[in-house]
Amino acid sequence: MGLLTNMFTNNRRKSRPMLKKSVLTPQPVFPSVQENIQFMQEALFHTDDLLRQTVSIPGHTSEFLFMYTMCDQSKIREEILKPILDNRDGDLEGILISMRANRYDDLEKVIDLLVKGYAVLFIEGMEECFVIEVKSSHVRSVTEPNNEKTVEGSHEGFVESIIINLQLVRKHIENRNLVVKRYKLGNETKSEAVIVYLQNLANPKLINEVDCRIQNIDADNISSAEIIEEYIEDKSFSPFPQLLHTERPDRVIGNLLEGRVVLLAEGSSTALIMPVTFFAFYQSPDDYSFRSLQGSFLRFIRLFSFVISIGLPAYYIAVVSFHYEVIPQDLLLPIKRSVEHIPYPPILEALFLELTIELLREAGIRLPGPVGQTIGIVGGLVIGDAVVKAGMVSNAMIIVVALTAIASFVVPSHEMSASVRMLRFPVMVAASLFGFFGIVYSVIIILIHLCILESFGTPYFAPVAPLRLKDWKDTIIRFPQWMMKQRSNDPAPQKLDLQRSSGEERQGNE
Amino acid sequence: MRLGIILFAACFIAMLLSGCWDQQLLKDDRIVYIVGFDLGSDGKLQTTTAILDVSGSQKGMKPFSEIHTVSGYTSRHNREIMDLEVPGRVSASKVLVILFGEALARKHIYPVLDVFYRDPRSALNAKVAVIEGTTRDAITMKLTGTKLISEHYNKLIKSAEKATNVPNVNIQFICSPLLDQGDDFAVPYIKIAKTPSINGIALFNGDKMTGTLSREESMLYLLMADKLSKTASFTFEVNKEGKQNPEKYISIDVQSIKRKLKVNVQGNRKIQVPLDLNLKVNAIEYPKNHLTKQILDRLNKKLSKELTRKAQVVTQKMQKANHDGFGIGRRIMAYYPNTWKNLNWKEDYRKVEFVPKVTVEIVTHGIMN
Repeated sequence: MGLLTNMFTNNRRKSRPMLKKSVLTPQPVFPSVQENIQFMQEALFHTDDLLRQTVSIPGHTSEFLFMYTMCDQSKIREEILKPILDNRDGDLEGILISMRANRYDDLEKVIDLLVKGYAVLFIEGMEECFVIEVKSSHVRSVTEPNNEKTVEGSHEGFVESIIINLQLVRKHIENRNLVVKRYKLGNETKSEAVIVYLQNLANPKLINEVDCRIQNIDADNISSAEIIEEYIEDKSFSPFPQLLHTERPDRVIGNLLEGRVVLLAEGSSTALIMPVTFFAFYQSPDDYSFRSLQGSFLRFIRLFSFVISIGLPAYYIAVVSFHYEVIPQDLLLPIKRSVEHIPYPPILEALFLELTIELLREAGIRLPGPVGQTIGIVGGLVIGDAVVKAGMVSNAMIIVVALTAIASFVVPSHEMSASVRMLRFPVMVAASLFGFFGIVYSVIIILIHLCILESFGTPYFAPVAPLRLKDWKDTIIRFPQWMMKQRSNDPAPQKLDLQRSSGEERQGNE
Repeated sequence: MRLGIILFAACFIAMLLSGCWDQQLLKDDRIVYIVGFDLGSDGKLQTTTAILDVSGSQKGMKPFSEIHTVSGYTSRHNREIMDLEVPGRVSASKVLVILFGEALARKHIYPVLDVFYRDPRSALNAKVAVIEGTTRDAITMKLTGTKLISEHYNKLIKSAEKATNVPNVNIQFICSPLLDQGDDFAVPYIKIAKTPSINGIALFNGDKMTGTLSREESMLYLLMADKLSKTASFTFEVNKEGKQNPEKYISIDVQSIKRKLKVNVQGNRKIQVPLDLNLKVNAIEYPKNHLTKQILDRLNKKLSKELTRKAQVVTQKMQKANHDGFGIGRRIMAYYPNTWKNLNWKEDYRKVEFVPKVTVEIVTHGIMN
């Protein structure tokens, strides 16, 4: 016991209590350049990527500082050196205007800007310093995101720059009601995040709630949208994701137009959509680019895949270990034959295969493309054939698990797919212990949880519970656009009506 | 703290393991596909079962039937004895066919079936049939094909059901007529010569077999009971003359039937049952050809007369066997309860006067004309 206690306690370390956010006292600019530079170097702890360069502005001793790792050399030439060269005899004001320099008198603020990739120009004898933007930026092209490919429709995708992402959104909603709210998050990282919404649609309470939750984040490190998600979601320990991730502008636009709020963060190409319901994770932009019937069919298949991926292995386990009476006569012989000489109980068989598939999936992600294929071959051959031949796993179980694996990847949203894959394990265990009874119980628990769950005050399982039949027009089936007279009620938009009669309805009247 | 963890673990494990108690793994159970009951020579009940044996690898290797015969006092007792012989646990939850030897069926069948009605796992859709001879011979019989013996009987009975040769019964369907005074059931009657073949039906009174009907009669019996299945075809001799033998015959297939059955009680004793059967048939074979209007009329009349005569034979046989397959007793119970009280149905059923009348109408006669 002593050893155990020691083992668990020997690495404890008391953290100093976090200080309250300290407001830095402003540091006025020193009159001498040398002093200023000295101060800045001290403040940045003589980091080696901080460079100083003297420039000769006629009549002034001046020097500027920049962090070369953050700055674009050609921009420095263009924005700082060129105006000075061009205005050899001009006055200082003219030079500064053509530099597009901003004046600052507080050195503390300037430090933050310096770190972001601005250059600071100090001029001897001046009470102010001048900050010029020379940030270097590397933006990849607006290509279709890999994990949300569609067949038809827009092929744009978000990138890691918030400005470009916002532009992609604004381009499609040219509306004065589109509002962007900026936040600086993270006491250390100070990363930028914005929420976007339509002022005349999104519910003010919702905006308030989102705003409040974001303001409440008091953490040192906020570096991406996914991290913000964990701070603002309702229940972190729920298996179901409560915010929809997407890298597709069209999906964001569609949701904005339903009165939802979208969060974008600098440095991540993922937009978070809130509030969302369970069914939002089963919608894909493809549904809308296909016609209504085809779209409904696709959506039906996806929801069916949810049932399969949660229930099928559990059902099979329950059947072969408790209720084999339900197997039809003609099917009994093949199944009996395949399970006859398996040494393990069905649950172990299933866990073994499921875990193998998860392993293969995880290994496939990490491996580079050409090697990834070998994993597929090895997995397919070894798992599919040799394991059966060796008599460790039955044929029927392979079919069941393979079907389940396929079904779990049908979900358009990656997080939902992961949570569904995780959820089936408890159901399987329950089925192996109590048969159908166990399945029913675990499914009831899942349903109860779905009904309780909320996402920013919106019931997660709407429109099924609470029931609103009008909203079913865009959940399990997708009605033609002209029939969706109202927006879905789950984000409680300010305007419910979406359109008056048009389309086929109108044509009939004329 | 430590105690708490142990208690929690104990509760958790107890909760989880409790389910395993009811587990019955498919891989461990031995599945009985067919079971036959006979009256043993010493008065005991003799049970013969064929158990599915899927030895060998997962593919290839055709399954075998492992056959066991034991005798004991009751069917449950026999199963217990059999469990001692069979490696693995015997499970009767997927029984396809339950066969009765004629000797046993003529005595009683309910005591044998009782266990099937009590066990929640028993296969209520198992087919029931009576074997002319012993079921032991029927089950141990070597078949020429590769089918399992159980599958053979199951498919034999099922195809006969489709052709309206035998009634569609299983142990669930026969349960209520088995115990009902005013209703009786009939099951397929199988003859085993070189191969098993359907040889009409066995008529029951209560839980005793009391008579049989031939294949043609049983078909008519089923039509009269308004139980037309997919097809029902008869072949009759209609022409005395004809160049060749086939030309004397006509084959008809019943397309639809309309049955009117009334129970008239006159006085308090005399029960008359007019039974109007209207058959719309398809002439599926008439080698003589030339089905003109006149010939059709003549054939209609002839067939009606023939079938009416046969229907009378059927009702006579039913009454002789005391078999109330049309549920006349039920109707009397429902509509004439006072009469029913005064009746001794076992005796009085024979006095019921059946007046069957069959009308045949050839409505179609093939694609040519």
